[in-house]
Amino acid sequence: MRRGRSGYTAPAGSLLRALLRASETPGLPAPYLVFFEIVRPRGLTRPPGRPDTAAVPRSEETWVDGLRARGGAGYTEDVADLRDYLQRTLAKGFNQKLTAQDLDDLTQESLLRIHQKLDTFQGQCRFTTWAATIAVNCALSELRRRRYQHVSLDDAAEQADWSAGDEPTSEAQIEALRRGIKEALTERQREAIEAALGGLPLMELARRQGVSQGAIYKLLHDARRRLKGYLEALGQSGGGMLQETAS
Amino acid sequence: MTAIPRAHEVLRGLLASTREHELDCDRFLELLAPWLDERVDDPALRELLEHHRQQCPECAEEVSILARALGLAPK
Repeated sequence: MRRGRSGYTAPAGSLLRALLRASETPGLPAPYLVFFEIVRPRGLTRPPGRPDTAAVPRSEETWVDGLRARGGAGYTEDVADLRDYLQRTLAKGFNQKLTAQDLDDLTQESLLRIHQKLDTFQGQCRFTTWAATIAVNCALSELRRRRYQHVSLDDAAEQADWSAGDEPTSEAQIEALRRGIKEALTERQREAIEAALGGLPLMELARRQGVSQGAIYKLLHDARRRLKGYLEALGQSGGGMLQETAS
Repeated sequence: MTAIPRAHEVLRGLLASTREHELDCDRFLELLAPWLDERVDDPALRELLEHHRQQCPECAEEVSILARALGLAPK
């Protein structure tokens, strides 16, 4: 169990438990040591009466230098402040809908990710905004993985709703789109676009293929360009098929 | 997976706004924090960011969560 300075207590997450067990292994790799320096229980416990310095603005340099200076006098406080900030940020961003356990685990994972990426911070924005983007991306990645991990590409593709509905779209136009997907795209593009249209997140597609989300976006961008060319060659652009729809 | 928008509506919207050159998610996420802090000075780049937000529902969700978390006006 870990106890924060606010008195909040939460059981350690499965990842943390596994890593804590691993910490007893001699010769632990450096990344794990960094992780323990961030999340070890005493590092999260602020001395009684210490003010909440997270509310005190720091310069970007102060944040980065403080978090780099492991073993320094202010390191523990810097990590605790960042942890508190990330926890508040995630709670607010996700509308207080995360469970205490999820909030705690996602905060820890975010802290680790931020520490790993610290050297990529270029000072083009506030440090706290940069840290928040990493935390939210980290949280969304985990939540989407959990939600879709048992959904296959085929299952997702089957979820796509190709019914005409109330739209003034003719069956012929829908058929042209579906035919274009089959005929104009590569197999990889077709699988990805059908899964995405069935609701499978790009982030999850990327995770399964071991590539970045940007690589999947590029794959789908190429697919859209091909499909657009295919429909234009069919003369579908003049029939309203490619007109921008109101969002 | 519930309430998925009709595939042809989504696809038609995406195709209509497809461009030759678009930002991908990796580049969008690199620029996201400076964009939220209004430190992207180049108007063309800001426009590319906005276009990506409209094309990519996942990145749009990320922006929405961050805007709420940071108390920013919704983009």
